[in-house]
Amino acid sequence: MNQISWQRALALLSLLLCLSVGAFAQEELKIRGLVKGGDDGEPLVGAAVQLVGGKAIPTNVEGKFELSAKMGDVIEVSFLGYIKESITITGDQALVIILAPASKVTSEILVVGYGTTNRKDAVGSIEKVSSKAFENIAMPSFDAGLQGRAAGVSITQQSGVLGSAVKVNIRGNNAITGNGNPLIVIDGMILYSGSLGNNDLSSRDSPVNASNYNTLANLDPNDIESVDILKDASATAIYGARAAGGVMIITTKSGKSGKTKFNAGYYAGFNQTTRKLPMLNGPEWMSLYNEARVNDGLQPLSGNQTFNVNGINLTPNTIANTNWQDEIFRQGIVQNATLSASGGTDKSRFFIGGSYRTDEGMLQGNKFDRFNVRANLKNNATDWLEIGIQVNPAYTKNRMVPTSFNGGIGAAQSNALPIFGTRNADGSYFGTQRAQGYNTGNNPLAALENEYLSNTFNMLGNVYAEIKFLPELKFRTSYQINYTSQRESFYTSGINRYANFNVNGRDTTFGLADLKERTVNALNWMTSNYFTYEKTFASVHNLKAVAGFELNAIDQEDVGWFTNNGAAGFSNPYARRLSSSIAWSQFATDQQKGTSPTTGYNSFFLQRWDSYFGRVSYNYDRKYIAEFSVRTDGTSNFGPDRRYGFFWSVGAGWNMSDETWFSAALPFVNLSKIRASYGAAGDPGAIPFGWEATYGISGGYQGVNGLSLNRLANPILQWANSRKFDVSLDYGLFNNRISGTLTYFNTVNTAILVNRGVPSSATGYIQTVYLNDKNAEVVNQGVEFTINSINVDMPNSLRWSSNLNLTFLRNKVTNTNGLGPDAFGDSPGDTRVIQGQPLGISFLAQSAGVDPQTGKEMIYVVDANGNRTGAVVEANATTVPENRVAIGNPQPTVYGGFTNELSFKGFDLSFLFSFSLGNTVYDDGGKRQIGGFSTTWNQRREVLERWQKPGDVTSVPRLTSNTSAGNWNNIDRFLYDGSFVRLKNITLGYTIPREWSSKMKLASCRVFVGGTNLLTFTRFPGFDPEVSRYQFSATDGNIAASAPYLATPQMMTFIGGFNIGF
Amino acid sequence: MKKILINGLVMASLALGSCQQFLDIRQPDVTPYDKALNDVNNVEALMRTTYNDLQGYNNFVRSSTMFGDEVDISRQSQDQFGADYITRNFGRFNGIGEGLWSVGYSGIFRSNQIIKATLANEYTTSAPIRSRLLGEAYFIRGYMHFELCRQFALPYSAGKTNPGVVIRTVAPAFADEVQVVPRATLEATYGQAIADIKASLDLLPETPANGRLGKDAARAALARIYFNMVEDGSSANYQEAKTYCDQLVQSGKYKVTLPMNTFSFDISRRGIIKADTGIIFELTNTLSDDAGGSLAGAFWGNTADNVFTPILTGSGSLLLALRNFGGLRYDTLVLNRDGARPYTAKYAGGTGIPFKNTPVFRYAEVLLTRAEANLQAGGDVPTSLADLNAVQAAARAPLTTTTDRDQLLDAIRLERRVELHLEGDRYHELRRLKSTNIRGASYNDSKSFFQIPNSEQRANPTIVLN
Repeated sequence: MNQISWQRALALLSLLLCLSVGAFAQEELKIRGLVKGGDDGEPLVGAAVQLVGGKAIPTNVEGKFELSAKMGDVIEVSFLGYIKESITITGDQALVIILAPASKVTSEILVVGYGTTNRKDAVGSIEKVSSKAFENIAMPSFDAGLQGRAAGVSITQQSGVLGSAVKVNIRGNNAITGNGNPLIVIDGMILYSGSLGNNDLSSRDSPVNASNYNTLANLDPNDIESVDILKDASATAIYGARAAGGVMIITTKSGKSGKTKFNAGYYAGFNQTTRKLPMLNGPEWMSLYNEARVNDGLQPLSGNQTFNVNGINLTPNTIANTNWQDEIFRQGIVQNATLSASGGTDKSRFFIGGSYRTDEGMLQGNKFDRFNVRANLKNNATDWLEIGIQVNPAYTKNRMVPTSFNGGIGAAQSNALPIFGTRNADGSYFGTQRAQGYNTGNNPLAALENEYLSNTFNMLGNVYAEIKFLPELKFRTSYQINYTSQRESFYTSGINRYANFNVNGRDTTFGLADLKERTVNALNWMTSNYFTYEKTFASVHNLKAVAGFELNAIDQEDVGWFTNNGAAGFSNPYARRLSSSIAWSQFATDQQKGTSPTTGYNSFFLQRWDSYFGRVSYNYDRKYIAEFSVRTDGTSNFGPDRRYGFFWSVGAGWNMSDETWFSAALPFVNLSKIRASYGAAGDPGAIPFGWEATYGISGGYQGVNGLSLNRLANPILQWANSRKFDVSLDYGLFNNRISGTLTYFNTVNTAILVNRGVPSSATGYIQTVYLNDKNAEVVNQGVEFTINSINVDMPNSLRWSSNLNLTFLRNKVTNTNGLGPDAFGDSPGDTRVIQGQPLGISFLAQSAGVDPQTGKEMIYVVDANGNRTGAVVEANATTVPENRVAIGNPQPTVYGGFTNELSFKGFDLSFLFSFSLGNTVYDDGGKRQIGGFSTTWNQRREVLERWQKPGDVTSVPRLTSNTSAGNWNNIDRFLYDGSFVRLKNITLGYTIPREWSSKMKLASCRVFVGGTNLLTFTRFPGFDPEVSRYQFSATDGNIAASAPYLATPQMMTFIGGFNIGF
Repeated sequence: MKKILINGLVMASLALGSCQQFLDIRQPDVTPYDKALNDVNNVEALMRTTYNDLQGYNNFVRSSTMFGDEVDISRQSQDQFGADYITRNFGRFNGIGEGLWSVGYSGIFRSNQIIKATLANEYTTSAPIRSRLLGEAYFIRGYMHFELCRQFALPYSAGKTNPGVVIRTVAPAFADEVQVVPRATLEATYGQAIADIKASLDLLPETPANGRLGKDAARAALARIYFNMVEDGSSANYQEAKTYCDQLVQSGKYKVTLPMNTFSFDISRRGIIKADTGIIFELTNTLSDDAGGSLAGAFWGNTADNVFTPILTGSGSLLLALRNFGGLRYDTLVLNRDGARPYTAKYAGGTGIPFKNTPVFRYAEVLLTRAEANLQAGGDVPTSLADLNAVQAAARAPLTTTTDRDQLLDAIRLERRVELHLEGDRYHELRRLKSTNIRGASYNDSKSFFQIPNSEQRANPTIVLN
């Protein structure tokens, strides 16, 4: 076998050539050099050192090189991210070459689909957020850390519940029923964009948590090197059918050749709520209850008169005065520790690390632990073969708490009345079945006896090989698996469970603890294989091409079981996790005892992808750039005739500032680049097999199950199409001290996937059909503006830089095919899809205030066009639906962030304000908190301004206990300006001078304190303007996010910690 | 070696690609629609789900009761949509109306699927099974149209040209096959119901399995429908009603038994011949049906404190009628009789029986229908009096003796109120008899029943609103 590779032969040949040339040369000098980076003074390993006209050699692991040269020769030293340096040999034989870091404005490396590019050559709109945004900030997951960092990217953490989902929206909302989320790619692995965590037990038996969980929460933010956000067609089209919502490419850290560096970080702090909602206290509530009784023609309660509210008997003399928010909120401790090592030789690089996070959150009972390990290894097996592996096992333990309609903080602002106590005199929980023989949902503390655990093991593994056939031709093959195993165990204490039994002719209430469990196993595997060709012709024609294919399969299976009903459970309270100890109670009927006390179930989710892609980029002298990309995606989501979709983009750019006439005319402009792109990406929808009508198991008769049709067939179902246009100006002024981008974008979404209403008389419970709406269009257009500036730059003293990004967005449903507001479903909180309005617009009756004479809530009467006729009418179930109008704006007109970074000597300070302006929030719980119906919920303090007597002018109607009196109607009185500006995070750090740290044998040492959500400026009177509604479907996420119901506010977090390198 | 390695890697990765079969996966837990009904077992399963829709009859009964004057609806548990029964401000979003509309049309949709598959011979089975399946489907389709009319349209007595509901006789399978169909007239809708049930009468077995529809159910349904089709100046429909009642009476299979909770039994006693009971057709319930809000849930609380819907008291009330004319029906079915909140034990079942069946057609109703229809159609007094007395006697209530036609008619109607209390009959009787005071609303007031729900309105612009 020939052990000598052809490269080696080539090298030998060139060496011979050199030698032969050298034989005729004059005196050779032996040059030894060291290359360092100008930013941190660290040696640069692998920098290219090239004698002009000769072959480049890399610097070794110490950043050193050796070569022979003659006097007057020129060597060029270059390294990615640094400005190329040319040195003329003058006789000095020991060179120290310090490369100045290149301005990010032009040289920043951008990760794109199946390759990389740099700012100067890029045509697409790509935002890069570097590790700084995630490190040592008390963010529960990296995606929350993106908030305010990138233009065009809107980030909303659903709530302050630990691990709650983060809604990422790139350049507006493009989908109705489809999946509006961006595609997430981690080190080349395309993650399944649906959410595993949504599929919890909330849809079965009894709902438990009203919060969606974030599957990205198992990724340690400190492992992330950068996140590249792809926004326009040019950047996204190569991801084809899944890229309508944009793409986020996450690159994890990798080692650099050189001395092994260790990094240890730790921080600890506490969480608390950003706000408490002002609610009534016990005596106030009691007096309003009596007022409602009097208004209803009843006598006020006497002191010892028993009354029953929410199933609990009380007398006015025995009421408590409990502030349930104080009971539910707490200061929770958060701790985060990471340890990593990175380094390598010229052949191998590694990054290994581990982290542990334990977070108690601001809600009693809530706890989130994350165990994370990572190994990223690369090896240059030969000079033509690079192999590597990235492995990231992570385990999260999430102790969930009920929120919103399920209790907890949701109950604390609704049915947990202030007149209820927390405990009875004997120490048992107040209001539980043992005490009262009834409902237990009114005592959020008792509910904490339940235990809802969701433990997730997630494994990301990526192995690849990259073969260099020729210097300009590479082939890369990778094989990736993402395996998730989620185990959920929901234990309900006997205190919170009750069943009625007929015992000897008497009704008896009895509660047994129970358990239900679920395991999800999901395997997502993928292989991508592609060639990259990169060559410069005639030194000005730069060509780069990529072509390849990809296969991806997702297999998910759920297996679970639940306890059948209240008559079954754990008779032995100590065996509370053992399924075999669940049995029927002694009071169960004979029929029940003849059946199993538990029921098992399973379900499946399958998806396959078969994809082909390619891209050609060409530039002339890095001045004139053209790019073309394509992708064909096939998916099992669609029927055999419509499986494959074709996606494409074209783009062009012009580095105007490189023209000599330009730099002559405007010498202070370092960069002026115009680029534009147009193309199509797609949305495969969120429903697998959505084209196919099937019969599935259904409710039956006489104890035998039946069969029913789940939907109507639509074999022509296919991709939604997202046409994206983008034109941008990148600028850099005054030595790039001021730089940024100005962009206009316009995305037109057609063939949108919708669940459109069909007359239910035709199909019974199948009340929608899933189709591409032929004419419906959703348009997002807007302007993004970023400005990065270095405001002060005094060497070794004060440095101050800032970044402001603004996105002006206009989202509009331009056509609904003539269908009315309710045709796409009545989304929660009366949010709708209406022609001419933004997606998810509120569709509400307009409050005309409270009639001063009657105290009744009045609304404006509108005609068929939604215009007020001038008349007003009392709000009730008949009048409200007939007088609704589209109102408000669910999406901000401007959003963005403002970051400032200051450093002085060893101190550094950074802070980020994020903001969202011009949007409305529909407070869906408001109708029952300040609606005038006061007898089952606690009320917000605004209700004290209620109408009491004729002549009162107020916005809160007359109190009543009658549900039918026009209360509970969705009217615009509960639609508020949701604009806010929030100090998202602030960090103050101090880096100990190197002399001191080196004495401690440390390479570096920094201590810091920081905070999250410390300040909020808003006029929103509800709990928190920055929350979104829980979602039970992708549609809810697209449409109803702006109508929170019994929200959980965001957390405020304070931390302090340190980072040491050694 | 390098060549081998490179070729191996490239070939291996290329071999993985480019296979269309890769996308040919099927859902492992469902049957494709075009295959499912090729197997009679699946058709039977679909029929069971159709019966599951028919079990929604519970809610039709409950809703009819809430519309009427039998119970104190102000005392029902606090429920936003239930409160609309009080104010009669029924909007398109009323959840109860939405539920009834959906369950009714779901039964119709599934029946249409079965009718389509059967007529197209998509599956093979024996002639009797085919006949039964087709008969059951026609019955449910027809009967649901009738019940929907009673919840969403004016009564027939207010004029048969008024809008009824949408008639649906085809089952769309594809998204683009769904048709927008306007509301038919009451006459057309009732006509559809009658045609379907007459068709089922030819197809259904004479002796059905327990809890399944048979010819007698079809006869009882036709009697009920014709009895509701009041037309000024014509007694033809009463004559039709009487004809079907006659068939049931003359069969000799049924007799009146009381009190009601002794004949409503659980599924564990399936197979018991009901010839000695007063039941013509009942839906057999299971534990889960009961938990899902059967009649027991609607009308039967566990204790006096926990009564969902107490019986109305005072002059002209159901309680008074039961007290004076109820016999056993007052003595054993009314609990807490002299308390503030009297309630019914009608759906309580026996001790140890946690779930109750839902009676749909009872022999007592047939006798009372025949008694009145006979008189209305000009029949003789003794026949009607005998039917009336048979019901009264079984309940050990005072027997009517009058031979005056008008007095007898009143007595029959009173007995009907008492005997069929809380069975969803009273409200429709008030409408049939053109009462102008159904809890304050007139029989021809379009606010006294549901609005066409949103799930129909939003996609069907032809809908005429109530």
